Amino acid sequence: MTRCLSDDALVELRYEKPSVEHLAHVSTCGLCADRYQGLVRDLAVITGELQSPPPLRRFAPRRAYARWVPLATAAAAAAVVLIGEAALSRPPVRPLSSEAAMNADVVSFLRDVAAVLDDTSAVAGGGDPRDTDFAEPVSAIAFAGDQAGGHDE
Amino acid sequence: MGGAGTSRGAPDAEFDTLYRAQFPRLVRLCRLLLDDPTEAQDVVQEVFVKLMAGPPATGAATAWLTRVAVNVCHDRRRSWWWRWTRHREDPGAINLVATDPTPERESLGGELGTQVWNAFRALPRRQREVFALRHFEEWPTAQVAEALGLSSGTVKQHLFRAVHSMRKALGDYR
Repeated sequence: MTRCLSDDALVELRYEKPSVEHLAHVSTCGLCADRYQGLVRDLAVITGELQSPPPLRRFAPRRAYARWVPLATAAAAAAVVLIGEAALSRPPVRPLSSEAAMNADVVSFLRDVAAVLDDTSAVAGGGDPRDTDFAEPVSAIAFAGDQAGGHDE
Repeated sequence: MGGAGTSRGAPDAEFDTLYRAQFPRLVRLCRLLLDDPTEAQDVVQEVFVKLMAGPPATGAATAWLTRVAVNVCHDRRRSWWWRWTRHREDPGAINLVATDPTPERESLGGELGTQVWNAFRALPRRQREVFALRHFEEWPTAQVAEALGLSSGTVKQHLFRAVHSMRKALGDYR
């Protein structure tokens, strides 16, 4: 019995070029000969059935929704990813940005004003040469005004 | 081209002869691989279009057509569109078409056919391809191995498993 051919050997005997040993065994062993004939018979039945048109498939309508589950899941995942990415890539919110900018301008302006005032106070306290340059136009304007008023009169 | 001599600019009559001779066989093969007669016809049409566009440089046209048909079936079954559009099968809701006039025989024959087809449908893709080429097309193992890009030993293993599964499906009918 242990020398009988395996199922794979019988299949190989059917499809491949048979070896002399296998042929000799099948020709002498009634059990293997019957098994081989059974294999050939089964394959003939299988061939006949598969050559006929396949039985029609009818599909379960209750599972039709299952076809849309992967698509809906993918769409939802894509939406989540897009929303998340948009939220993460948005620049950090600075609510006081305009105010801070305005403050910076104000500070700069005040510094300029302070500098001018410092200069002015320095002029008032000491003999800066710019004193005459600053005073002269004023006196010249006053003098010109007096002259104009005189002509009109 | 080799065997059939069909090539770009070849006479149409030669192509027609090849088409008429090979079309039914290729449709049967593709129907086995795809389990869909309509898709099988589409695939075979596509294969012949490929033949017209770029015929094989060497080798027989018959083998080339078969190899390309198997590859196109392979690609089609692997596409997401195929998987997505395939409905789930309800095994208990299969219409049977039997030709036997006897109701009892009709019932038995239909059930056997269903079992065999379901077993064939349940085979892994490679086993299905090997079984179709080796059993129905009667290609030698080496040619199947070359067409599918497998070793001869792997082809044999696929064939053994396929035959075992198919015989198991026969059950009490054996």
